[in-house]
Amino acid sequence: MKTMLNKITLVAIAAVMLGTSACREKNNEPVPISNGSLTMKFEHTWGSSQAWEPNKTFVHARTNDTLTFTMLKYYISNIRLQKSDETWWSQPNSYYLVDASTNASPTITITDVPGTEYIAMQYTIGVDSARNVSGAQTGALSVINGMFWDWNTGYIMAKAEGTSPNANTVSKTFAIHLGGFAGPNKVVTTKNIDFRAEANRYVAIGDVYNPTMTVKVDVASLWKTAPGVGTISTVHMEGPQAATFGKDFFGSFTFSNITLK
Amino acid sequence: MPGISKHIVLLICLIPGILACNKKSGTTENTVIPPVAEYPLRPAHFPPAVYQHTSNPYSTKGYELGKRLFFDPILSANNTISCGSCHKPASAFADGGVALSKGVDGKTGKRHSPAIFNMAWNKSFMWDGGVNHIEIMPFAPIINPVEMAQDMRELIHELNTHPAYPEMFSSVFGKDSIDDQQLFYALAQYMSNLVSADAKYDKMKRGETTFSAEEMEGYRLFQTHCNACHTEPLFTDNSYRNNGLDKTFSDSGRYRISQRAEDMGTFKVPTLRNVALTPPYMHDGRIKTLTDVVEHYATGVQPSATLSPLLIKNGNPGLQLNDTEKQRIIQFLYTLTDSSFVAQHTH
Repeated sequence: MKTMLNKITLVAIAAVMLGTSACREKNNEPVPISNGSLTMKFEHTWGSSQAWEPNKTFVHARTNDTLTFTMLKYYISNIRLQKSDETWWSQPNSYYLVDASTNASPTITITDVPGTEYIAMQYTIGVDSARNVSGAQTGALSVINGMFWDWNTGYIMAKAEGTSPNANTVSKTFAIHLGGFAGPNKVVTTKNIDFRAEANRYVAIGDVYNPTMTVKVDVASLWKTAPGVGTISTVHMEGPQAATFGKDFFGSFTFSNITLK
Repeated sequence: MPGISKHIVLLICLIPGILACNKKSGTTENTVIPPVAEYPLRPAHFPPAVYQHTSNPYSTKGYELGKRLFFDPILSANNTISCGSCHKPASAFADGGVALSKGVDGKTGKRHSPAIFNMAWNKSFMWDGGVNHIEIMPFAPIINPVEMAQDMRELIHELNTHPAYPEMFSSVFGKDSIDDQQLFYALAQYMSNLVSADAKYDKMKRGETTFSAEEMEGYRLFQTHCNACHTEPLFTDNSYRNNGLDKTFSDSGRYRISQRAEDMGTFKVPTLRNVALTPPYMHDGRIKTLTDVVEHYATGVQPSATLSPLLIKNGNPGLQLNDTEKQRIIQFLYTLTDSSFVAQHTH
């Protein structure tokens, strides 16, 4: 009798589990066939709760610096999506320059994504080593974007500039330029998002599904461990300083949510 | 009889050529302009080139477009300075005796314009090797405030609104408008095909001529004392060395790029090809003559923590050469002058 009850309980638990997992892993709609798009929206915060905006003054909780940003740009590259059959689609020539200098929530749109259901995504903050050593590039990687060092070849993966009364420069400006595509001070960072774990579902792209994924970026994390602008107002080359800023800032990029359509 | 008349015709043809050679500048109508090579020049006695035109296929039209851009001051902020202003063909693409070249408004930097040729074999560019690819090399002088001081967006706009360039670019690259990649591609097609490999040294290597006894002695001394860094056949090993100019360094050289202590005060080993045509010498143009350069290596080497160990003999800095040895080395260095390269590009 006891064993019988246990068996029933087990079966019941198993049935519930199966049900939930089916709900979590499969959309009820048919799998998309035609190509679609995925939009990435970058929402900038100041610390965990405050919304960040360009040209607005913030005080840093750790360094006590008063900071006003006039420029915030960074590269997003090498976008890959994993299909439900576990094969990967890699976007060709996948380079975007995200510019938050005039818009607190800039977006980039990945078009011509093969229509199907996806279980995971990968993207890189910065520009991979290959494109740093292969000569003249075009589009987002063109040198006219001002994100390339002429004297010491390499992309500036991220730029944060602005003014601060605490800055140690005569002009009271700060300019944090983060580069380093290889070696011990590499700042290029790859992010992985498991849609089943983080969004609790498969992500359909194509047909009527062109979802928008929001990534949260904490601008204050630039100074998570680095000294304030009274000590370092300018970073203009790769090296241990850039590596520290890069690790903390790029480390703050986190998946927030993804819309259904 | 027909043979003799042929020779006479040949002689008559040569006379204006010789006269043209003696003129410093002037008419070029008598100079035979060699055709632009249809393939990148890659001499048989050179190692494989570093630059392989992988994404920038070579064409004669691309070369000619690059050449026009190289000599066009449109590349500078106030349209006064071209690449050719500081890299003059008559001086093997160096700046003809000038220690520090003048950029826009007569501004100067702290480093000497190097002679630029055989660049398809360069692993890095600039005295400190900061630039890693021939295609993006021109970006540095174009935007440097003391060189061409140009704004890249402005330059691309100027090229796109120019009466001739849009059609020229489109015929080479087949694009609707000019972008910076096409500008760099065109310049790379020209610069990577400035190949100097026809000096007396090369002719000797190919068995077309022989060295005098003095030149041969100089060559042997060169191989003993100089070849470790100025390695044949390119006469550079592409390394960075401190050659003992100073005990302390106002210019940190390669250290600025690598941030490694052992690179303090080191600079890229320059090629010695055409060295007799490219005074003054060193990264800052401080030494005026070849005689003084050889004297520096013989007796003037300054000790410091990063001095190249190859410049220390029997525990003392300097190569300890006697006067005859110094003279023979200079005699050998003159065999590296490639007059046909200079003539080919001076028009």
